Amino acid sequence: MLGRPSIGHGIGLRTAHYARLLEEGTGEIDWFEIVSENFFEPGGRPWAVLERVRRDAPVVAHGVSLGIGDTDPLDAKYLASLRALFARIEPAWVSDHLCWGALGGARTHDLLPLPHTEEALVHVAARVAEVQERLGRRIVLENVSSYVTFRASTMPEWEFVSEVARRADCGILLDVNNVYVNAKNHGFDAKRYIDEIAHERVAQIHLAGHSDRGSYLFDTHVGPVPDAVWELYRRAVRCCGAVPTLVEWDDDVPALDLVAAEACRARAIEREELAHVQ
Amino acid sequence: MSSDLRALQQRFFALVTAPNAAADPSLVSWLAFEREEHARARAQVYRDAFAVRTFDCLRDDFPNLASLVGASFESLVGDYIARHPSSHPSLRHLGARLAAFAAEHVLSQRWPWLGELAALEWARVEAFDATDVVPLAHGDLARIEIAEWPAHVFAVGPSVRVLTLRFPVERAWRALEDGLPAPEIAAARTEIIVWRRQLSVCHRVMAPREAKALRRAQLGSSFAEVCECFAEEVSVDDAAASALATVAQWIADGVLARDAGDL
Repeated sequence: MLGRPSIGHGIGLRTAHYARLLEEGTGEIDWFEIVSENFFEPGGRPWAVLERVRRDAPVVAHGVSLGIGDTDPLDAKYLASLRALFARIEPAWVSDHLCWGALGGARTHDLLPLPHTEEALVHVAARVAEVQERLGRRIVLENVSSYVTFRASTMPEWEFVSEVARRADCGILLDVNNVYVNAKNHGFDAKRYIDEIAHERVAQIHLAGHSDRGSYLFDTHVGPVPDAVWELYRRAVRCCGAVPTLVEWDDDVPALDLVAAEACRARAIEREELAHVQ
Repeated sequence: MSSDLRALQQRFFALVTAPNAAADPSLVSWLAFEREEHARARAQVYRDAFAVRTFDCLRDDFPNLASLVGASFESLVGDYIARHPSSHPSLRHLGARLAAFAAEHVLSQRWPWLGELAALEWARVEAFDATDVVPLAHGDLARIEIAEWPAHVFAVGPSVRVLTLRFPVERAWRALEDGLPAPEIAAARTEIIVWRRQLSVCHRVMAPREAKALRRAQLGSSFAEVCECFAEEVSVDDAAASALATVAQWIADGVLARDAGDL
């Protein structure tokens, strides 16, 4: 069983809210998630906001460039930057994505899907172990949205994600919106994904919106969380119990109150579902 | 090394980043789709995302270069990424080599100062991202003993960039910034200082002797050595006065930083 800090329901720290946070503080928002790479260079307004936020609320560091599934060697300089950042801001935990994104030193800056194979499992688990060793802490990995799957895959995505977490002794950041998007794009049952994922490894949940592009769903983090994703979230809470949950809203970012209201809704849903369980 | 995984990633990487999507003849042989057109359509999602991401990043960092070349900016970006793919974890560094690349690009035949306009815009990006420091204040000068002035070293802020250019591209930058067509500009050596004042990035044209003095200050030269830059055309006393006036201007602009010795 993974240790799971009870820090409640948070939102992403976004530039659109900097002025409000600096002036009025964090209000009723339980915690904030930062994009790690945006804080590698100390200074400027982002750091002023981060230091202000840290006075009131826990902060979680969420990276986008670890490339845990890359077949290039791990980037020692990048890991050193992460370690220095973590030492400075003392995040409640740290996370990145279960994906790959670079080849031969060239980066796509995308979260590209891995084939769900035994070879990929062994490869990723070994790299997670090395990263955790170098960072001196356990990491949490997020299931990514995707638009293709590979013929080479030999197991469903939930099994791959769960097995990486078990073998590498890391946590799972269960992005419920990504589960929904992938279920639609690849034709599997999203409820089964929630039921089958390794619940004891789920350390955090992400909620977000997506865009319907006709023949597929695109993970845009725009708009309020759709009803279908809320329903999956209810199921995840029933399966996993109370899990720190974060609402992502990264495009056409609205006023802070609106994003915070989504986090409050997640809090209310969690209470409802846990009351039923008890 | 994971050989099958590596091979799959090589194939997928080419699919996402290569200019010609048709290069891979059979996507359904390795992507799990029944029909080739479906596989190709879904692969295009990644190709489009890659193109938009790199284009948007460079357009945000080089807004006036993009305005200048118009529709050709897309091909400039494509050519640049093909030559200099991103190697840094952060997209912030993507444009680091665009100025040198643009200077050699075919578009520079129309605008010989294309690379220098890009250099000015990149200097502004670097200034924006530079580490924060406490700016030196006029009141801090009172703490410098008169006898220590000649040996005193002023700390130049980390956001400061000094550009020596062959063309007065500041005129083109200003026109484009105001939404006007870029004027025709003739070659003329131009020195520009770029720096950040609090959260605003600034730049202005400098006289050659001020540029020389600022470069010396950046290298850690003493005030006396900075004064020498002004002594080539005037007396020693006038040079000191000019240097003092320049330092006062730098302080007013927020170009100088307070370092440990000033505290």
